[in-house]
Formats: sequence, C-alpha cells, structure tokens
Amino acid sequence: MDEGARDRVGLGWRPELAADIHMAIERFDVLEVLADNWFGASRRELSLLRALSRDIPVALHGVGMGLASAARTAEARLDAMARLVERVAPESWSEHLAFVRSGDIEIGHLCAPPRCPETVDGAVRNIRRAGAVVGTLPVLENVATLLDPPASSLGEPDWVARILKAAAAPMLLDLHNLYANAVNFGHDAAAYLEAMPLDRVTHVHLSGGRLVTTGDGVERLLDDHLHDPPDPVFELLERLAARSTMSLTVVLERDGAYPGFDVLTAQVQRARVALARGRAAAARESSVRPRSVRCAQ
Amino acid sequence: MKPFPFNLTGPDFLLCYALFSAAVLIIARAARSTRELAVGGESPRVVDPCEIACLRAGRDEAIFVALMSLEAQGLVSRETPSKLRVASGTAAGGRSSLERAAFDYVRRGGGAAPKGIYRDAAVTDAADAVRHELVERGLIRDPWTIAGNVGLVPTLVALVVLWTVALVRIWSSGPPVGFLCVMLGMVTFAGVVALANPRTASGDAALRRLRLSFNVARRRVSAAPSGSVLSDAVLVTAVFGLAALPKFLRGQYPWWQPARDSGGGCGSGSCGSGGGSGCGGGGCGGGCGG
Repeated sequence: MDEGARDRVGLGWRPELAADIHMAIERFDVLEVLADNWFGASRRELSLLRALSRDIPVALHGVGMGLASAARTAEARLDAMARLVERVAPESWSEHLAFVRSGDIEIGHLCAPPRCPETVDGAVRNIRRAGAVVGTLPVLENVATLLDPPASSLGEPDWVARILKAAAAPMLLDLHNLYANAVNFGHDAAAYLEAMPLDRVTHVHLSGGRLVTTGDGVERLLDDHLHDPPDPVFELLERLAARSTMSLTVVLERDGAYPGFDVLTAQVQRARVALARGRAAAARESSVRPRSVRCAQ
Repeated sequence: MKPFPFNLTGPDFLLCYALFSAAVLIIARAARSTRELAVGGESPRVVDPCEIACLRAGRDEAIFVALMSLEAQGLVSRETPSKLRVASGTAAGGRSSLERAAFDYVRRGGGAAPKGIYRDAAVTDAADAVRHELVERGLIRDPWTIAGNVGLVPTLVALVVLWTVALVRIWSSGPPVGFLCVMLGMVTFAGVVALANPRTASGDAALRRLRLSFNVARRRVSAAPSGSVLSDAVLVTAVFGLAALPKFLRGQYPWWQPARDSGGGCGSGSCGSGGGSGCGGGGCGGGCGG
C-alpha cells in the first residue's frame, strides 16, 4: 500500500443515530449517508449534511438508480444525485450493480440482473452517463441475492470485473453481500473474495443478516442490515486488507434494530483491528517476498 | 417643488418609507450574519450539555441542565421530591466546571433550596464562564457589548432619526401624521426584534444543527412510556427545553427550574419547534441485499 494513503473506518449515518454521532463524531473517519433520503430535503435539512461534510468526510450512497440494467437510468434520478452532490460536496458517491425497476414497476429491492454481456453493456452505458451528469463516477457495489439470476452466462466475479474495467470505475465491496452469495450458492467465501477485482476495491461495507426460508423451502442468508456483522465478515476484511494494495474506506451499515451506540463503535473498532492485522500480514509477506505495490488512485 | 420622497402623498409616501426601512434592516442584518458566520463558523458543533442549554436559552438554563446532569450521573439524588443531596461517599463530581460548581452547591447544603442555586455566586460565576466561552466562539452576543450589534444599532438610530425628521417636516406642512407614527413604531419594533436574538448567525446555525441531529431522539424521548429510564433526557432537554420531555418526567422538575427570562437567552425553555421533519428512515434494509 502507498505509504501516503491510509485505511479509514466509519459508520452509516441514520437519523436514529444522528444524536450519538453528533456527540462522538471523532470516533469515525468517514460517514456515509443514504442519498435517496435527501433528494427532497429542504435547505434547512440539507444544512445538516453540509455541516457534517465540514467536520468529517461524507460519502453519499444511492439505492434507487438501478444502474445494472439493460434499460437506461432515468435522467431525473441522475439530476437529483447531481444536485445533491453539488450542495453537499461529498468526497465520493456510490450506487449498486443492481436493477430496481422494470418499466413502471418499482421492485422495492436491489435485484441482481442476469449476468450476461447485455447487462454488462447496459451497466457500463448507465455508469458512464451517471458519471457525466454527476461529475464523477460512482463507486459500484456488489449486491446479495436470494436467487441465482436466470439467463446468466457469467459468474458474478467475472461480470463485476467486466463492468468495472469497461467503465473504469472503482468498487465498493460489500463483504456481507459477498459472504451471503457464497453461502447461498455453495462457494468458498475466501475464494470468492479472491476472484473479485480487488485491484479496483476502494470502499468496503460491513453489515449483517439472518437466515430465512424461501418459498420453496430453501434456507438462504438474507442481508437485512438489521444484525451485527458475523465473524466471517471481519475475517474477510482482514483477508482483503492483506491482499489489497489500495487504501480502503470501510463503512459499517446498520438500518434498524439498533444496538447501543457503544456496540456499534466497538464493531467499528473491530474493523480497524482487522484492517491492521491484514496490513501487518501483507507487510510480513512482502518483507519475505517483495511484491509490486500500486499507488492508491 | 419638494424633493423625492417628500413630493409623494398619502399611501405612496407610506409605502416608500416602509420599503426603504425594510430594505435597510434586511441589508444590515444580512451583513451582520455574513460577518458572524465568518467568525463563528457556518455550523459549529457544540457537545457540552450546559453549553447547549446556554446557547438555547441562557445562563440559568445551563445551571438547570447541570443539575439534571448531576442527577443523571447519580452524583446527586432526591432526599425528598423537592430536596437534593449528594450521593453518599461522593466528595466531588461533575464533568464540567459548571457541574462541579453545582455539585458543590448541593454539597454545602443548597440542595434544601434548589432554586437558590441561580443566585449562588460560585455557580453563577461558572455559568457566566460558560456564556463567555460561547461569546468567544462567536455563538452568542454579549448583551452588554455594543460591539455585538455594530451595524444594526446605528442603522436603527439612523432610521429613527430619519423618521423623526420626516415627521417634523410633515407636521409643519399640515397633513395628518397618524399613520407615519404607527409606521415609526413598527420599524422600531422590527429593529428591536432583530436585536433581541442573543445568538449570532453561527449560534443559530449551531442550534439548528443540534435540533436536526436530535430530532429522532426527541421524538423517542417524548413518546417514552411512564417510568422509562431515559439516558438521553439531559441532552434532549438541553437542545429543546423541558417541554420535550414526557409528562411523567417534566413533573419532577418545576421546583428547581429557573424563573423564565433567565437573562441572555431566548426567553423560553421550549423555544423552537425542533428540527427538520426527519430525512427519511433507513436505507436498503429489509432484504434488498444492498
């Protein structure tokens, strides 16, 4: 890793956590805000986001664009993000490699599209258009899925890598999403991680979920953001830190069923420890066997 | 021929001076806000409960919140509903100078008459230090320093002089001046209202930020069922005032609340309607896999 870069760990900002974050903002390196909740905010409400972005780096995280689709992303949604980015001046913005609507039907969830060349082309087109409208490319997040997308001719790592390479975009690697897909479809999580385009990962999400039984009686791990990140997620983070030569921005996500704030900050601290252990392991290995180092982009 | 605007008559004359007065007040206020934001910052973060209370409603509110905080920390307790005492085995306590001064007041026997705390020299000195700190940070104006009102007071004086000259000239010419007198009173009142806010533009921004940040906490506290233990009651009170607490909790404090108009504050323990409407709930939870 470039000696001038450093890893950072933060928390997803939510209204329910706002008071605690206000009182203890120094515990975090970065805050991530859900962009879609602020598109219709008044100037007064946006003043809070601007205040946060003066005190700490803020990243905006979108959920409603549906970039990974053969269909074009609506210009109105891109314009909304562009306006918010202009007003808040975040250090980055991100979205998902997912589709969320079909025609006029809003699905209400992030769905994994068929992983095929057509959706690669569609995603790349939408990502480039988004970058042109907003002014910067989004960081792109992998999604969890409860069913293997039908009509897929590509594996997930290959599909993701093709999109990111063609769009020249960075990646937000959600480790619980990766873990859930590995568990749900019989992959080894560590090998699944290694197969991802790790040279493009600049941001990381940590979250948790629970086991659910689908309609056909199959048990699946659901990424619901309502539970603590399980141990394997922190192990994957340590493994990623050992492999990655980029500086990493790690955000803990929690959308409800909030534990005490001390519990969340303890999880943030655990992420710091996992990163440090991974970096230390990489340093030990490179002292034995020198390897090429890529500077952080 | 009389020069403009003295060549105007009746409603035109009144309208002209109303617009002129409004423009002068708005421009002066905007200029002052710009200067204050440059000094105090556009949205500074205040985290000490006593400073927050002082920012919102003045020195006595800071003292009140200090007492609340001591009770929440278990450093003081109620011997009777209206009498405080220090927790047994505790020689000193409090996280700030004001809390320590308040604790010492109770320790010296002041807990038998809690309202006397607002006249205790050591406590008021500590509270004045809190207020002075906020003045130094550019968040509130020192009410006794005319420099805090540079631009606005001279403007107001100029307006009053202008109006008086206009009235004298018009009186000597003969037309009725009743409406002009009313206009003069309204302009003076508007100027006084503009001067009355003890907070600077930065202070208003800081309080606005607090109210937006604590909006959900306030709703949660307000809706708490009777008997709940509320860990953030002190902070919610500091930000919004005692009225933000649920009824079962509010009723415990009247005998040690400060008198209203505590000096240097906005005059109300519950001023403001709280923060924004809330900016939406969680994000992509519920199984979206994002």
